[in-house]
Amino acid sequence: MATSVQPEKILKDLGGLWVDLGKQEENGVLRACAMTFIVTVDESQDAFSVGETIAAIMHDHPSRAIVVRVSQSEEPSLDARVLAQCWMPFGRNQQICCEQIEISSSLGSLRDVPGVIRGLIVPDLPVVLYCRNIHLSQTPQFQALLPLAGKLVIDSGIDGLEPLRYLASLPREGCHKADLTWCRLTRWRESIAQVFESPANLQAAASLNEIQIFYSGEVAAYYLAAWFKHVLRAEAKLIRATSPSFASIARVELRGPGFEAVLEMVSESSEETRVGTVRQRVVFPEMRECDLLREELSVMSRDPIFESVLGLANSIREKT
Amino acid sequence: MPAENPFQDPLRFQRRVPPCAIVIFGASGDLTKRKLIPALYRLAYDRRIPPGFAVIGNSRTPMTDDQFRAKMREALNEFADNTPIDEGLWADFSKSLSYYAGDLNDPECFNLLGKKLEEIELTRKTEGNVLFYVSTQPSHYEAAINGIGRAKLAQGSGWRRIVVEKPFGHDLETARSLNNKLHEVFTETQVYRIDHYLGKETVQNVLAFRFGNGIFEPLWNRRYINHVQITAAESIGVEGRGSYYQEAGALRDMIQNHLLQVMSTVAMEPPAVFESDLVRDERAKVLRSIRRIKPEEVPMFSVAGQYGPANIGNKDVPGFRQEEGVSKDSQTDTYSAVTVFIDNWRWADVPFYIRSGKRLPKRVTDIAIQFNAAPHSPFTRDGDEPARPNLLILRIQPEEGISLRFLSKDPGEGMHLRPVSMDFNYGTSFGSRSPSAYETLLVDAMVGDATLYTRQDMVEASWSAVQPILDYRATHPAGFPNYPAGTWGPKTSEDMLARRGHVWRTP
Repeated sequence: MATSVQPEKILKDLGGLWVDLGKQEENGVLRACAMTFIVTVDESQDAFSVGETIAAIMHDHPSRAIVVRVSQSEEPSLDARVLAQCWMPFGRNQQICCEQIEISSSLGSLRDVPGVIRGLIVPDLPVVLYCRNIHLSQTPQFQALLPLAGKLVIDSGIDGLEPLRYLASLPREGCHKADLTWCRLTRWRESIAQVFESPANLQAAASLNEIQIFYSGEVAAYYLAAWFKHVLRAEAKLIRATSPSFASIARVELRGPGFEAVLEMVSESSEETRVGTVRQRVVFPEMRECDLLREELSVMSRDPIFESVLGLANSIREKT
Repeated sequence: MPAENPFQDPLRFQRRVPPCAIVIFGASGDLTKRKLIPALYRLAYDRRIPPGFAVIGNSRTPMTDDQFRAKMREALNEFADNTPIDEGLWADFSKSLSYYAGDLNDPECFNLLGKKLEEIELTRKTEGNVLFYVSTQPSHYEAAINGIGRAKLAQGSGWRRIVVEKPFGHDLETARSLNNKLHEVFTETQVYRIDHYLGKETVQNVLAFRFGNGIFEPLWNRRYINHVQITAAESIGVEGRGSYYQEAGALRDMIQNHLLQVMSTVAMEPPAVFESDLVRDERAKVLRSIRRIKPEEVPMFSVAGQYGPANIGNKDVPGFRQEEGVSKDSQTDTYSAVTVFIDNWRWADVPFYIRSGKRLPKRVTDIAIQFNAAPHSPFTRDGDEPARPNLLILRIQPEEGISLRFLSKDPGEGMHLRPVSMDFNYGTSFGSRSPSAYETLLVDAMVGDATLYTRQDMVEASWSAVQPILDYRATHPAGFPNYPAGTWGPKTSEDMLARRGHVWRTP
């Protein structure tokens, strides 16, 4: 097993890959790249699905994807290979291709990985670091990668409360932070915001005196409660629920003088909003990992609302 | 009460639509089933329709609410591209649809509409906001406007707006008359004249490309740009719309509205901020700067064509005059090309060649910016072809994107140059779904953003630009047909460019 991987060699392999692709295709191929997208994954996790996710998001966010697969062995082992993610857009005669570099490392060789990645970052384009495994991202070797990243994405939906604590503990300065659980709540937040598009309801927003969130997942509930606090400076009551939920939220009830709004999942993919006598049903389509990343990668600037909510959510977690 | 919704998150949320009712005149027509209802359903699917929402359809055809809903459901099955039909959502959305039959010339039709709107405001909580959408035949536009005015429906407890479909007039005089009629009932800020080309993602992207980047705008003027070609080609014929098309023609149907608007997007000055009136002011300035063609200059500055029969791919296709509903001696232009000059500092003497036609070899719409050639090429020897100038192609459809053609050294010995292309593929090319032009424009009208709609002065300026050509053609019959179906138009079109040493590129 090779224990040394040189960025120059990987870049040369990439160059060779493009030449081969160009020869195979009569019309050549179109290389697309808008960022460096680094994904760290524990080999014991569903490593195959990472490839599928990357292939799906490439269509919207073409990138040089660097997938770091870490095995639990302490035996030094480091290897790399390059491949291309290509697809033929409908009605066209030229394939679009993105680069993917897969680095396989044992725990024992993890310290060598940041040095390799540094040499593989596409110059002048954003760098996004997606840590699929929170424990890996807390290792000193990966902490060394943080200054290179413009954005750090985690998914507390996979690892529970620990990622929330970790994300909140990172300094406010530096890279932008993101949690896919926050993306999962976008549909809920849009529906809630829609209620207050009506001027009559907007008037009631300031005097809401009862906000109840029925949830099945803690982090989502903390985030949603924190959002209400950010928007209205109001406390929400969190209630465990077993009814159908989307993004771990089953129902939201908002009450104030002469005002009541209930937003509730009525099936696995349908949410119903009831404000007085007005009812509206909307579809909450299933959100796969690639859908969440698609949304998150579209937000490359600071997200002041999430930054504020993150701190507040962590405070709620500490008090709970 | 807070002025704005504090729950909004512009970074992540799509623009929200306020509660409102949409009244569609001409609801039994093609546009409603092909475009409007599929667009509204898609907006509902994307959670962009508010709970307080209703659609009232009107036309002369008698139908119950349920029959109208069933018809719209059929339309969705046929025309809702890339949108899953969710039964639960449809059940909810269809409750917002209602219909009543009525003749627009009958005042009772609007009295009834007034009552319906009052009722819907209470039951559907639409808060008095109403968007009237006139998608009838043009001959009924005035009746719809008069009816709304007489019944005093242009004002109410909420906002009232009116969307008017194309064609907006048949010439300058009728466009002015229609504008006057509209202004008897509505103020200009209430009027949304739709030009669905402006709603296309890729046309909007022209603005992003020009004004979001620093490197192109310094080159975007007469000093570096040699000429501009705008092409909107269709491979199909009139497809059963012969009688309608016979009254319109390519100049009226495409160039006067869509392509002059596209040209104004290419040629406009940067607005200080991206706000409706400022963007439209800049577009209007371009349209007002178009050089008026003198009657005697018309044959030099424009070409009319009409396709004749041909065999394409071993299939006989009829000529325009053989199409159903078309007169055997029709003088309608199924192809039009014009040379436009914009008389301002940026564009003086730069020709904008605009062409549009039916039964051309392929369906394509693009804008080609041809830059001046390098002043001197050290690589060209005697007998070599002259260096090919740089070309920037803004592709509107079907392969949305941007290409830049430049010269590069051929690998190997010697300095042999060849053109290569640097491509950027936009939106659908990367697999994501772009909203349809009607989704974009309907949301704009509901939220009160008129940026992508045309204004009275823009419409009149574009009619003024083509009026001399229309007048000339009315008195000078052409020798039609003058191009076989499946070709790039009449030879005189090539001649028009050749006079300035240019050639049409093949898109």
